Amino acid sequence: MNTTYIDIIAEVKLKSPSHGSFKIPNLKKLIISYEDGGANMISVITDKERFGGSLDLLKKVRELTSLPILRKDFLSTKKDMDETLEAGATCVLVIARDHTHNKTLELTKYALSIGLEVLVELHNKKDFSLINKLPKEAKIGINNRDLVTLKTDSNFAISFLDKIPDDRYIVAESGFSKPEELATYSKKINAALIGSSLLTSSNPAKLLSQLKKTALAKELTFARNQQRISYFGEYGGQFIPELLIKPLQEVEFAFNKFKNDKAFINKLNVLLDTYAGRPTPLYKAENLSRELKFNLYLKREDLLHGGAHKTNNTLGQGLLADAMGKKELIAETGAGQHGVAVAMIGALLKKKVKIFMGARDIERQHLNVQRMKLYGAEVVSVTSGSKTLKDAINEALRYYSANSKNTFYIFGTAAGPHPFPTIVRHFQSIIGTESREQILNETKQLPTIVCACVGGGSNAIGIFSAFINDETVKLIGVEAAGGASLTNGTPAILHGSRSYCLQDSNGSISESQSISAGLDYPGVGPEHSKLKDIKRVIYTTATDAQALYAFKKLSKDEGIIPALESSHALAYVLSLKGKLPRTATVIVNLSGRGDKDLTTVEKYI
Amino acid sequence: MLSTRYTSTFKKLKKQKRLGFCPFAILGDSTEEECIKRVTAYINAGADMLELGIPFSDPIADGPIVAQASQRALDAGITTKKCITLIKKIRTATTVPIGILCYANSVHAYGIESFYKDIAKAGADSVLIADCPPEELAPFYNSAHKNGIHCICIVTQDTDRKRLKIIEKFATGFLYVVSTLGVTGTRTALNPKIADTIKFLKKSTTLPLSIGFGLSSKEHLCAIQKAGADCGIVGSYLVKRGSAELPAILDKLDIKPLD
Repeated sequence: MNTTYIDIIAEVKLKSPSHGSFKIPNLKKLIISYEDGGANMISVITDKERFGGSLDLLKKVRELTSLPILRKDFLSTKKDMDETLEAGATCVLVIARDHTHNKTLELTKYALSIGLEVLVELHNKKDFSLINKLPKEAKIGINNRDLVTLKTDSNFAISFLDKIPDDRYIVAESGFSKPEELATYSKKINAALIGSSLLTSSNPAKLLSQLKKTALAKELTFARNQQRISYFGEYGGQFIPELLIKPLQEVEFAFNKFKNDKAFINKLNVLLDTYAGRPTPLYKAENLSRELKFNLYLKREDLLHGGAHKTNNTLGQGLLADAMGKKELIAETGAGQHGVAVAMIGALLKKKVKIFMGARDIERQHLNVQRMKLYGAEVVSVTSGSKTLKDAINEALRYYSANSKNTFYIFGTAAGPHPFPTIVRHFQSIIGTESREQILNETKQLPTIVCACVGGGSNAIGIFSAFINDETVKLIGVEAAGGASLTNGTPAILHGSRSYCLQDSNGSISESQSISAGLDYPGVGPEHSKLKDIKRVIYTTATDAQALYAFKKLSKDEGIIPALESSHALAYVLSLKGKLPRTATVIVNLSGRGDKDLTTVEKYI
Repeated sequence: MLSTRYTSTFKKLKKQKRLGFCPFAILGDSTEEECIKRVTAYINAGADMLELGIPFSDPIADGPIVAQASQRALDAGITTKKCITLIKKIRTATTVPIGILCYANSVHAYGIESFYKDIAKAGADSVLIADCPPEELAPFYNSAHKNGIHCICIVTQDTDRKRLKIIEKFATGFLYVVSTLGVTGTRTALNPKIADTIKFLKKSTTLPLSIGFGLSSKEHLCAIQKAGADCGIVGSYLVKRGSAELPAILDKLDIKPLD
């Protein structure tokens, strides 16, 4: 049977204790030869004392390649992890035998939480007893070099391989110089890390490609994908036509570069504060709290400029597009909120804007169409398929594959192909960060429950992200009963990622049916699928009628008209009346305001 | 073992100095009977290989002509299972290589392993998943090769040497060269960059090159033949026509071997 070859992680180091100094007359040439040889990742040793490295070396490599970069060093603090990310690495080494088991786990989880991949290096029996506790996202590294004697023995690692669970990504580290040695690992590992032999070779590219072909990788399945940065557990990925690979790689590269760039962050923060109106208040709904017999807080994203949380994301992605020099912004929209937020940013940044909107939605959301046009955007009516959001996304992707050179696609929700789910979460996570700080200031403790509505899932992932590691906080996602991908769907591949979705037995995507256009989507962001599977978030549904009731209730009792989307989250919270202790604190993400829904609601009342 | 039909077909074409002709149809468009008639016309016109599409509800790589054809077929009740039965029928009528074009979710919903097993049994030779770049191909690739099915990969005008290496890790049979940026559909003019793309690929890979997207005239086919392509895939231009007018249209696309 045919299968694929192993990945090669090609190393850059200036010296090693066993070899002494390496001659690298031209770093750029070396990196190009690694790329030409088919390296899948570059490893940079930043330890100064024994390997002559530095973070500057890593930064130099970052400038030279778009390949993933592994930082190898003796790291022991969260600060080390932050610094690794900032320097431009995508993966970090954690050496188990340098720490207690708990410390190794803590460091690994922290690094994963800030978006780094982690390679956990195991040496001995004690290290291996850790394996079942490690998050499945972590790659397992087996080092052939005995750190005490500094000798390498490539047979050492092989004796441990059978003990590693089948769904782990395994990296065999150091000690290979000849293809024959690597061949013994065929089908047992996923990657080999190769350093000295490449650095001393007269033709590293050739040696690399030879080494690669000597060993086959362990068979890959969807379960195995969880080690990849584009995946959340077994969900996510990049299921897109080849034509879109390059444009999305460029977006990912720019995002990784600018998300930690001080000037970029500063510009974004100024606009978030002075243009969009952040921070938004955390409001205690006293009247409802009295009736419900617990403390209800509303995170007022409805007060954000544009009338919904969407502006957080469009400002972030808009500035990213600008930094990349793109002249045109495109977006899909369902209810029109995201379209409005993109059109607004387009006006602000002086970009041409094209919004793709289903013909049926254009009819339903006339007011928002007018707003977009007023901002100077072109609204493209999509008449294919069900003429709603999912078809608008199809059409936007089609346009993007023909025009990516000058165009930036601002994806509206935490779904779609990698890197969109990660980018949207990043820009929406401000909702959670603020809420957490505000509730701690106000009540001196973490909330009992955080609740948000889920369509594609951007406002929910935004507020959940800050609380995911607070194990005592219950997280509740509320879907529209007629578009409940997580509650009623099964995993499918739609719009570039694998996630829960409404589909028939043939794999045709079903149409959703909800009073709230923003939740009227048959798919959902991949991270929510993972959070459902690991039971970190409980997903439930609210019907049109329940949402309408909550819509009216908040208007009458607090003088706030919520968006129909957010009304779903409120509906769930209203059902908790009398069921929680009086001291309980519940935060609802009030993701948008409801003026836009008045015509819809009128029809039902 | 992988199907050998592509190797022998491309060898034969090379010997005859002829550009291969590969017409495309959506399975079940507009009905199963109509689809059989269409493919029969293709075979009678001397198709060197066939590309057959499994309809999907959200075909993001397709322009309006193929997308509408897919919707027609789905509306008429086609399923992936019925598509496989159709392939089996088509296989009894021809010995040319049969390639399947589909979207990842059709395979995913059917079950990856069973899909490749069943289409191999039905007599198909290759599968191209339009929304599955090499990054996501591994689980599909393993099942495909277990069942002797080629994974066809797409290359574009943006594909450089580095990307080609990644693609070649999976690609066998032939490379599907997308002639232009964007989606499938007829175009009046051929993208002038295609000649350079073909030239670059001929230098860099040993795989045969089939050109697709936008080929809509005899002149287009002659141009890619001259540039050194091995085969031309014609889709939308044929899909938008009923089976009755196909013989005349196909006749007009017939081009001469190179001298």
